[in-house]
Amino acid sequence: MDVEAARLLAAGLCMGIGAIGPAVGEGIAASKALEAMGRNPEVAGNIFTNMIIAMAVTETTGIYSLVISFLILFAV
Amino acid sequence: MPINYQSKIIMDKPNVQFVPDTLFSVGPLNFSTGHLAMFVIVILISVVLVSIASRAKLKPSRAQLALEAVLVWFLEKVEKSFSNKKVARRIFPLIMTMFFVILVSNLFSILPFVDALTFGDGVPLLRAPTSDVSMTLALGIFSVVLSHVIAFIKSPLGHLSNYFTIMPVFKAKNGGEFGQALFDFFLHLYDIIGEMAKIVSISFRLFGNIFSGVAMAAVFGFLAPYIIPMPFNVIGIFSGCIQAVVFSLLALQFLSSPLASVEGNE
Repeated sequence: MDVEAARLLAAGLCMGIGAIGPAVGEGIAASKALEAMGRNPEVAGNIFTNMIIAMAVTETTGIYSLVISFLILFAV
Repeated sequence: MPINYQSKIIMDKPNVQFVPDTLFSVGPLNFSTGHLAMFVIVILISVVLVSIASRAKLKPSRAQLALEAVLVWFLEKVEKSFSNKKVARRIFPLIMTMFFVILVSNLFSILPFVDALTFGDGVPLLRAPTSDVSMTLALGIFSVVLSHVIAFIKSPLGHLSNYFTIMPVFKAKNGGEFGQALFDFFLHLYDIIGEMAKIVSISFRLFGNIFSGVAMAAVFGFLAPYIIPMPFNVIGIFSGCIQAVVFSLLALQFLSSPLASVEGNE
């Protein structure tokens, strides 16, 4: 395996493995928020705002791996 | 016949840059396209906000209503996170400044005139400042350092004792307590690393989101320039707004939590 192939594989694996965590985390956040909205529809707007913010924080690790894979692809 | 592994995509890559282009340098300092864009953004925000604020009336215009809605939403959050209302009122302008600067920087690339301005060999003159890691790192360092400065001024010893819990080690009466105190001391030293991780996490979250938008636009502009990039642009606008809110709320959290822990010690 030459260096170019290893680089492309590394970028793909980095993004693919790194996307698992945020996906599961955001799914949990969404499911819990929907449960809460179903139980208490009056505060649905408030819950939705907080859910979006929590999701943006959750997806940070995914963003890290995206940055790393961009680094591997374009900067190294 | 040997297979040509070097496909077209690998041969000529889309133009994705981590460091913005330098316009001119003064000594070791480079004045980049991101800096120029920052100047434009600051002037833009000042002009728009001052013109809205100077025309503020009891019967508000649409722009004034929108601005007031944003301000009130943030004011509620700021006043909730500080126990003292006076401190909250002093921190509030800082949080709002961060929010507006980051919001406009994130959405800067969708302004119509930005892509058209170029210099040299078609290098864009203006680049969204938050897609440069030095800008987000500076904002992160600023907010975390400021939070410690505020807490330190409020109660120097109280703040330091959150990180160097040396007193229980001397007060320990027997071996078990001494071991526990020593363990706590080393455990609290880890909080210092935690504070540094705050800087990295907050700044790379913003940088990663905005830079991935820029890189995505470059890649799709290279692969399929028409129609297909549109949904990604919508996602970019959405995440730009969300990240501005998230950054300012996290900065607020960082600013209020050391102060709260100092007040709790008293």
